[in-house]
Amino acid sequence: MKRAGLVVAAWGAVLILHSIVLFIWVGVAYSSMLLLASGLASVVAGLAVAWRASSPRRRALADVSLPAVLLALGVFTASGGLVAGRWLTVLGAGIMVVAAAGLIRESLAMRREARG
Amino acid sequence: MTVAVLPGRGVIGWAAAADHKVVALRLTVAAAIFMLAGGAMALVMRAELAQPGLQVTSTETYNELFTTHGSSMIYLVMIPLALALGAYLVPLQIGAADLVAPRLNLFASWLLVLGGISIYGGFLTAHGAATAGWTEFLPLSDDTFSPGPGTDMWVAGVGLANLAEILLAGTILLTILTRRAPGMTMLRLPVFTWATLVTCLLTVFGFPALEVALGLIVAARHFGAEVNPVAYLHLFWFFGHPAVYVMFFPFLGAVAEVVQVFSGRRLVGYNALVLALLGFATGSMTVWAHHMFTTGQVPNEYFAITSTSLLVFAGIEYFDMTATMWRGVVRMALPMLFAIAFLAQFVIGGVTGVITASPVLDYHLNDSYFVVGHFHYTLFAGSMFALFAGVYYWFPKVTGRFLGDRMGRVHFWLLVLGTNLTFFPMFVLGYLGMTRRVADYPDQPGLDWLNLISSAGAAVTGVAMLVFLWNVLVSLTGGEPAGDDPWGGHTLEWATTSPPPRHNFDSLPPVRSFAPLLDLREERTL
Repeated sequence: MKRAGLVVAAWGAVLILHSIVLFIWVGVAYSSMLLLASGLASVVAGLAVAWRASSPRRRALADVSLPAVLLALGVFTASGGLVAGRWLTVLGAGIMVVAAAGLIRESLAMRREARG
Repeated sequence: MTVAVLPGRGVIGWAAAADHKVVALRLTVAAAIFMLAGGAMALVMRAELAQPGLQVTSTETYNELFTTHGSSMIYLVMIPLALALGAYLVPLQIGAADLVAPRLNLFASWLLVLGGISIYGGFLTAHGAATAGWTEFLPLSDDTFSPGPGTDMWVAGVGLANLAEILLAGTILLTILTRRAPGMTMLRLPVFTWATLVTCLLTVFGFPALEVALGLIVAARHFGAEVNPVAYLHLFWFFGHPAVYVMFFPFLGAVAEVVQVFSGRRLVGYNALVLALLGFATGSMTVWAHHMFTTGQVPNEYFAITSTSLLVFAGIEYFDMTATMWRGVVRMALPMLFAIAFLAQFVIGGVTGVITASPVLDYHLNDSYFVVGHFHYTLFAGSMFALFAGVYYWFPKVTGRFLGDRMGRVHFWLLVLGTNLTFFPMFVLGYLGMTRRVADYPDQPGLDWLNLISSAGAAVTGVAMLVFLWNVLVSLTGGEPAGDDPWGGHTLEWATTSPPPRHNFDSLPPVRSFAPLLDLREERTL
């Protein structure tokens, strides 16, 4: 499992190579910086997976999660503040806090279940 | 080992279900609804363009229609369907019980639906929905040229949908990297899973640029910031071009699975195909500025070279699939019909892409109907046909029933006819100088009858989609029972029941190659 992350890192390394070629072609520009940033992010993410991937263990699966749906509703409500004003963003943030509390509660329940 | 907790029933149970299969199906249903809405808009636009001088809609409404049509099809239909296919099938193909972080997927699926509602909500506002195209280029999308809340709702909606897509892709990617069954090494992954893996790489590492670009629109509209339009273009297309391949690779993977199974043999050149997919994905991250040739602000030579070089990878993929069919025992079942139509029609989309990848030609064709024809040949004549190949192939796995064969063949031929009648004339229209995103055009020879043919084709396509919809509804309740492995599948999803149980597998067969079930059948015959 650990080596699989290296696929992502290698892919990122090729993007970095491309960004170097582009840099030589045009110098410092949006284009080479964008590609470099994306490549670096890929390398870091790939190495992180390779470093952190764990061996198979007993896991709990959540069948249903109302707080996850509520969190989406909170984010949606908060984004509505762009149109309706700051009050809607605050309302959305409130919903998100309630949803986050529910998610934490669920996570603890699942951890207990996985321990058996 | 996995333990299911927090079970739920009824509508709330379905709405809040975190099982990867339910999440994927919910996304599929949402995308299908958005597709019907976007398709209806396309029909209204084609009615407007059927003859010069017609006024089926006002020019302002026409702008709203093409903006919402494009936004729907990209952000709410094809990308979500690509990811939904992966969310459903990847855990089954790699022998996992679920995706990593099921609740995050559930969250993302609703975020996407709510994002769609926000985009469509613009129609209910005083100024109407967004009007500056699915790209919302600056300064066209600032508050001077696009006043009113419709554009803000578009920004919020696309921001949510894009975030949802990044999260979904991230969890699918992590699942492939960390949750494979014993024996399932990276070079034993099914081709569809590899195609999904590169799709997720593009999404996770390309799509965040769109969130930054949307931030620039907010800065320009609400904080009076003076944004460099070229900076916006770079950020947008850094997302926008990989997005094209996100809407292509999973469907290509689906076709590769179909071609193998209906040719009765394993894929020729598996390793080459995997390398080509990785090369294609890398290359597709380096070509975005070919959308900006005519700005004069990018190194056209560099982006022309990288864009044209993608042909090499596409060629390898085509070669592998053609070679697989070459000495196979080809069964012309519905999935195979759609797969072959995909291979034939996508060539037209690809070759016209090579034409627009040449800066010299692009100066003539930029913003013309040629470009509209090109991307509809890739997305509709290509990816949509491949999607249908996948739908006819995996429908029995998802529902336990076949889709009706006779209606399926009517659907296929109507769709082939409608697609080519609609989109092929667009190449000629573009060459003749008809520009995109206009509600009317001059009454001059060529433009009138070509537009009429295109509009008639759109109507045929609409009928084809209705036939498909009817087939799905009829087959869901009265379709012929399919059993667990009706096609003689090669990959692990066919080793479980149809539909699969919550935890996907009771037991897994040994995995010794990318076609473990074919291995088992070959062992039995020896």
